[in-house]
Amino acid sequence: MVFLDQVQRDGSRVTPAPVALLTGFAPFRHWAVNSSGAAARMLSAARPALAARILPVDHREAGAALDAALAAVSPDIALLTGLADEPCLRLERAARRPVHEGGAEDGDAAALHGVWPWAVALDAIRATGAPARLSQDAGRYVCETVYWRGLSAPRRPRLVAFLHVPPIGPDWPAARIAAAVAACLDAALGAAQNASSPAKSIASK
Amino acid sequence: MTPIARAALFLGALAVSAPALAAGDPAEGKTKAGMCRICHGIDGVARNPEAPNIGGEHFVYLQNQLRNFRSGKRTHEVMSVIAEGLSDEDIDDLSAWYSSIKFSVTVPE
Repeated sequence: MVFLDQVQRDGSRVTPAPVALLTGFAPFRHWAVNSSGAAARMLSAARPALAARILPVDHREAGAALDAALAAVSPDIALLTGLADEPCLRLERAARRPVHEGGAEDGDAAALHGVWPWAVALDAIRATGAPARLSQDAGRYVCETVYWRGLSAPRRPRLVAFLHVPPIGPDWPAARIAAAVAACLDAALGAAQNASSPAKSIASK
Repeated sequence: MTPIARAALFLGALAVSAPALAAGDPAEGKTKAGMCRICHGIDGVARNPEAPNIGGEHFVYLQNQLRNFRSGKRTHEVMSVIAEGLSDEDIDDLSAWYSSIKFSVTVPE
């Protein structure tokens, strides 16, 4: 991944900061507050440069809202988040093709994989004091639909991942969840910046 | 035993004991390495301190490690999950790509 440098008036080059999109979900069912949406709002307020969107909990509407966000923001990095009733943050590695998308043609992918600095992100989340794990099962609900949509988007960001966060509760105040989400996002921002200066002494045969 | 019989026996033993030869497609491997690049780099040079450099590693070593992660013989929080979804062909292609990368070494004085 290489971000195009911008040439300054004095001829020096500056690599622009990667653009990041963070999504969470709106309340649904008995969840009067969706922890993913609450964390996205908190981080958006704290970081004016961060684009944040709250998606509706509906397969089709959420997909359309994500498409619109990707078109409007053109992010280099997209961290999609959703609520899962588990006392742990779950970094999802893959999205399976949503059932409502209909049958896949031969050769179509049954699953798409996120691209994220997985190990670094898990460590960063844990460094905030929150438990975290890597998962291969995004849950088959709107979360997985949105993840699939992000990974199959024509203007797919270079780094995309889905993070499940616990519901807000006595052990999980919104600020704790927001700090863990921020750590996960920052791991990708760091990776994107590292990736902008590839080693030049290596060449393929 | 005649020399011809000895040679046949030797070649037969090689066929049984030799490690799997490079069979993957490096071009396919480069495409598939999109999933590896954020940690190991598309050029095999690690992008973070938690990942090893794998560019220029021997094909058999890479193939064995990926197979070991997949089978559970070797475990790592991330690699075990990633390798779980790899087919034999994926492993061969990825091993072919990363082993095809040339590198040079400068030893300090």
